[in-house]
Amino acid sequence: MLLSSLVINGLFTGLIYGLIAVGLTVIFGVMRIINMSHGDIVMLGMYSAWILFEKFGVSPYVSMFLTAPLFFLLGSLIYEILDPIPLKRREMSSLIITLGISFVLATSAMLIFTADYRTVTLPYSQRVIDILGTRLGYPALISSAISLVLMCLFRLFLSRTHIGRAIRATAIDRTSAALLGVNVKRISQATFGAGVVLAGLAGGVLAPIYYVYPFVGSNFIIKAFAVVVLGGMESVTGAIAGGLILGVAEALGGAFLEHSLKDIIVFVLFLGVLFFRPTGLFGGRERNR
Amino acid sequence: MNLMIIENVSKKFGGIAALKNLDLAVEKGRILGVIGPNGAGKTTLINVITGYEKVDAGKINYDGKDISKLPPHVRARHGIVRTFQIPRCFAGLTVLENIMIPVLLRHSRGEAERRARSIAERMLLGDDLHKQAETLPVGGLKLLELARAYAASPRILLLDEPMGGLSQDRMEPIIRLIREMREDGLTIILVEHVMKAVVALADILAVLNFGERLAHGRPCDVMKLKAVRDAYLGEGHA
Amino acid sequence: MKRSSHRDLVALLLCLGVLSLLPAVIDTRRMPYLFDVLFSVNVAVLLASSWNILGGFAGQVSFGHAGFAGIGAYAVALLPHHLQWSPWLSLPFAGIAAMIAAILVGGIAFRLRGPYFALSTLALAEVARLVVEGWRSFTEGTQGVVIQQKPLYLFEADGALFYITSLWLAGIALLAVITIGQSKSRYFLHAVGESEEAASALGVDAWRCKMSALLPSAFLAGMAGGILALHTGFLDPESAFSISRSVEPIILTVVGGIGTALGPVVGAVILVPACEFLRSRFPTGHLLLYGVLLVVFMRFMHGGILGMVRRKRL
Repeated sequence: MLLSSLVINGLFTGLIYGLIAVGLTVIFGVMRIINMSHGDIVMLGMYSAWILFEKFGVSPYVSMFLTAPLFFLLGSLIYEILDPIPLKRREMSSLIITLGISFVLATSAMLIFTADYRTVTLPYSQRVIDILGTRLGYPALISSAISLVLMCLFRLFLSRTHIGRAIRATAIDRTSAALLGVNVKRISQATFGAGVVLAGLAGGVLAPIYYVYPFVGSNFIIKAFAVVVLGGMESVTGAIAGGLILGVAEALGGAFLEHSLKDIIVFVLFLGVLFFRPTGLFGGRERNR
Repeated sequence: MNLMIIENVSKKFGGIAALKNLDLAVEKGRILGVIGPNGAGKTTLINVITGYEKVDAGKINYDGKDISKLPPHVRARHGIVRTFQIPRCFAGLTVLENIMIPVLLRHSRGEAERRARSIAERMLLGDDLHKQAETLPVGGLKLLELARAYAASPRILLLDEPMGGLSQDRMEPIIRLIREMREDGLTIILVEHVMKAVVALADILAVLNFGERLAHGRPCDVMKLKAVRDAYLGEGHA
Repeated sequence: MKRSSHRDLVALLLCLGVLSLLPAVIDTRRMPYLFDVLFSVNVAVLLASSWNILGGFAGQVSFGHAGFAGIGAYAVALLPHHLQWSPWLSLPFAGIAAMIAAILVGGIAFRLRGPYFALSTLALAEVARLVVEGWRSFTEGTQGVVIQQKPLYLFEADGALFYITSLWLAGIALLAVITIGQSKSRYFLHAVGESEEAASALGVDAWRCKMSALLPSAFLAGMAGGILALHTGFLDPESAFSISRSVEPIILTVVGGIGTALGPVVGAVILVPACEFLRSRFPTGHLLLYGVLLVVFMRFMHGGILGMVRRKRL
């Protein structure tokens, strides 16, 4: 493949990676909680898109918005589990608890749906489009476009709406936000809900272009971490940038490295950034409280 | 004789200078008070002296040797011991065990316990020995922070706002303890916001502003300087 | 304090001695399933204790113990494969290989704190898996390696041998935990786990402290991986580095009681047989139980079962 088509492919995949990571980023930004079950929520998004497609023939691009309220509810529920943990212990405890939730979600999916690989084949799944000499499948194109639009909308939501501003204020400084009259608990819960909705939406855009199986989430969680680390910020823009970097790096790596080594790129990027910015994982405000 | 000499030290955080060509010295057995508005570089000063931040330029001489390349724990073992502005107790250990930690580096467990106990008594924590450290109120945590640092056998003690956030009556015992430590021959760098406490304790006062030394001298002289009043005291003392 | 350490040691040896006699009382050939379960319990105690040294005593939560176990497993598989060593005699090298890997891991991951450390260990374990997968000429890649189950001198490689070896390995792990729990370094480990900065301000060498917990922890995890590989007789990257080997020790320790010597034992003795039972009825059902228990215990019973028992007594 040509270098340019590798890059273009990587950029389109990168947008989807960005969407997967955005939810993780916003939850971390506001609550300092690393949600280990994020990838499994993406998996749930994929399965719900698959079911609605199989049973009712609804396109994932439509159904993902229909199921969004359920994901909001799920997010709020998970938040309810985490909220009462004392702040001092919360960082580590929530890490381990969400790891447990990840196990619960993945194994439940296994029991309900079995380990079979499922696919969502849309009427236009086989059609391709030519962009600057690169052939791209219709679903991949649509998924990437939707990802980009969703991230931009979410960014607008954060900067333009009242709730969005409250979320940002809480992310910057909980105590001051509370003093300014922000209901920190409600905002945290809403943020968690929103983060989980974004993961669900990411599942929706992934369903037509990826296999659906119970443990698929573990593929995404590592990528999402890598994106967040690369983006280096608790911002949507950072996630988009991180996603694009990862997408391109993977595409190039896949072409030039042996197949089995391709996946190492994600980890090398992840560890590399961690290593050179030891306190700066998600923007380096770790020490500030 | 100067125990610690800070020579021409600079430290930048991404373009912003936290310390700029700073010169400071502390005489053995004296208390150097450091004041300045928020963001003046006071905590950064403690961080570079104790090794939590590397200096960009300049030297830190301690007892005649440049220590600016040593890691924090080695500096601590040489007697340069700090406290933190927000007390960092070791949760899950008792008050006594918290104080034992530095003593255990040098002594057996029995001996460490004996020494830690006597330090705790002296630091007014005698009644709380077996309480879990994290259950102490703020005042107790501040005392514990001080006691633990004292237990590390410092030659020079760097106190980062030991009275920050305390009520007037909680400050008194800490002021007394710091004075006692000085009488024992300990050298102290005291970074503090509470003016009255600094003036009462410091032998020499340094005023920092934007990482630079604005003034330096006996507290009563420094307090009279107009530049100091403008930069720092203006807000509260006018 | 000295006296209690001797008492614990005697109790441990006594238990090991009595439990070692089990194959003499019950014929392993007539009840192979029982000995399989007991073997699993022993290995779980070994792996969970190994995790507990790092995660419980030193406060460095690792999500990557599967990496050490996997490296240990491959040491046991590859030494006989390439150098025709006896698989049993390569077992100690499982621990040594994992310990060498730990030096690398420490160099990278110990620059990070708390959750960042946990994530980096997760990533490092995955890197180890991918390297094993990719280095086909040396590891046979995804094809996997078969380990010949040869006897150890006069002993046949049967249930009894595996049971006793795993039992004593678990015993060694407990010995390590008890030794650490009663030494001065327990305090330093705890302090570093709570606040590295505060500990080094008092003169504690945080890096050395964490390393002194990581090395034995990795050694024991490597041994666990090694004996598991010997027992299964076959090894591929997927199973050797399976994420459940990272998660299981965390669950057993959290359920039993984190940071206590007996916690992992209690967790393993209760949960492993329960899961074996569940697994035979609903495959993967045991993993669901694991997940639920992890959430419930972390959230509501932070001290684990031991913590509950202790609170009742007070």
